[in-house]
Amino acid sequence: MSHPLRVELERLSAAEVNEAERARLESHVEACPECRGYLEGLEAERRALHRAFPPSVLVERVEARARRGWRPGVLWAGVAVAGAAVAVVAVLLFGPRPLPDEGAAVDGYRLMGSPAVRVVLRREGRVRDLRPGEPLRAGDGLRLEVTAGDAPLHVSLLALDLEPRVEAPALVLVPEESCGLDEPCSLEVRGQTVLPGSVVVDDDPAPVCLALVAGREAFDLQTGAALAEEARARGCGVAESSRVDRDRGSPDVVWTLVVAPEAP
Amino acid sequence: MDVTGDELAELYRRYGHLVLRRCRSILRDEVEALDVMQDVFVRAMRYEKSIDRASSRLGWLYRTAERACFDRLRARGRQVEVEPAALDLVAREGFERPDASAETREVVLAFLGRFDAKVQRVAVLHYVDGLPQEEIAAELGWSRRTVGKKLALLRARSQVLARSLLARREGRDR
Repeated sequence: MSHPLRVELERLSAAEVNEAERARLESHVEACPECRGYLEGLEAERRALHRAFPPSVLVERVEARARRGWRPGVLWAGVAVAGAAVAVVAVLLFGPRPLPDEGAAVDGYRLMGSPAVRVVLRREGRVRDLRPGEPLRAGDGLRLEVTAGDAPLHVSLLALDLEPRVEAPALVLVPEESCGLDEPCSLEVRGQTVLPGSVVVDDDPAPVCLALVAGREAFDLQTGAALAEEARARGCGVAESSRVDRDRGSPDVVWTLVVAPEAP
Repeated sequence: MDVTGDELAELYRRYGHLVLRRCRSILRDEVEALDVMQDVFVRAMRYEKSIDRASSRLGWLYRTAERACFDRLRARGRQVEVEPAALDLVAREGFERPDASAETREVVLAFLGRFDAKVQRVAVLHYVDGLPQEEIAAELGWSRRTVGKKLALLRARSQVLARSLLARREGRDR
């Protein structure tokens, strides 16, 4: 017997089905003890909730909350403070657009002694540098090469959703394996290093922001995530300035890129 | 806000138990779930036009509840509560067992606050709603391959986090 989805039974429970759907679902439920049990369970939960928390109480509390105003969501509060303990960093910001001339490699912003990022594109078996502003396609693979400058660098590559604008946390792409709960969450690179793994553009049209966080000392997951969140808030891939600041006491986002497949 | 008390009460009568159930599944904490449920109805009042435009009010309330729950999961930060047997199983064996077993579901939902919104959405559809990959793909308008990749990432990271939490607990017990 093919069962309806749970969400269909939940729509039935909420009387959010049309006549044809209602007839189909009710006919199934009548013959299926499992689905009937699920639906009866929902109704029991409804009765229990209304006994413990009657509609009049809900209305009163919701109206009181609405009058008090919106409670801000708790973000990665306090995390930036922890980041302040991490040592000096060189900062270089560039996005996908700010390149000096069409066709140039994406490492055009490297400053003396500072880190630089180069994006290598793998498309249909061919490998080359990603050109400025070049649209991406589903199936493209991106690899990042980081040049550390004159001292070892600790880096972490994070991905954040740009749309929908929900307060979702950053996902760590590099170094994934070492990002446990308490361990450092950065990879030490020296000289010119290609980061492990690649970012494959999927067919989900919602854009994702890649953010490369770098510091002179190892940093943890929450520090990297908080910095990536700030970069998203500033506007991923739109920062066009580059600077080197050796006096900063924390890691920073050194590079961002919007990744989304072009419309077919 | 033009929603009257009667309209709000009616919305709650029809959908309140379902919203609470959703929150309970994700948060696994009765008190917090009840609190988030109230937040969801505050948002329903505030975004009355948005919910009216939605093709499904239940769908709108579920999306809103999920986002509110994910915010709560994030706010918990390092406070991860996982049932020891489930943690031990996933840390040692990964997701070799039936994918939607009670243990894997327990671990995935415990660490859900550490994933991005897309992975969270897929996780809820798979581990809370019990949808197979094909139906998740249809629901989200993605390819099955993309859904599979998100689930694979979710499982791999969840096992890393489970191992890490287990090592932390074992270190504390020594």
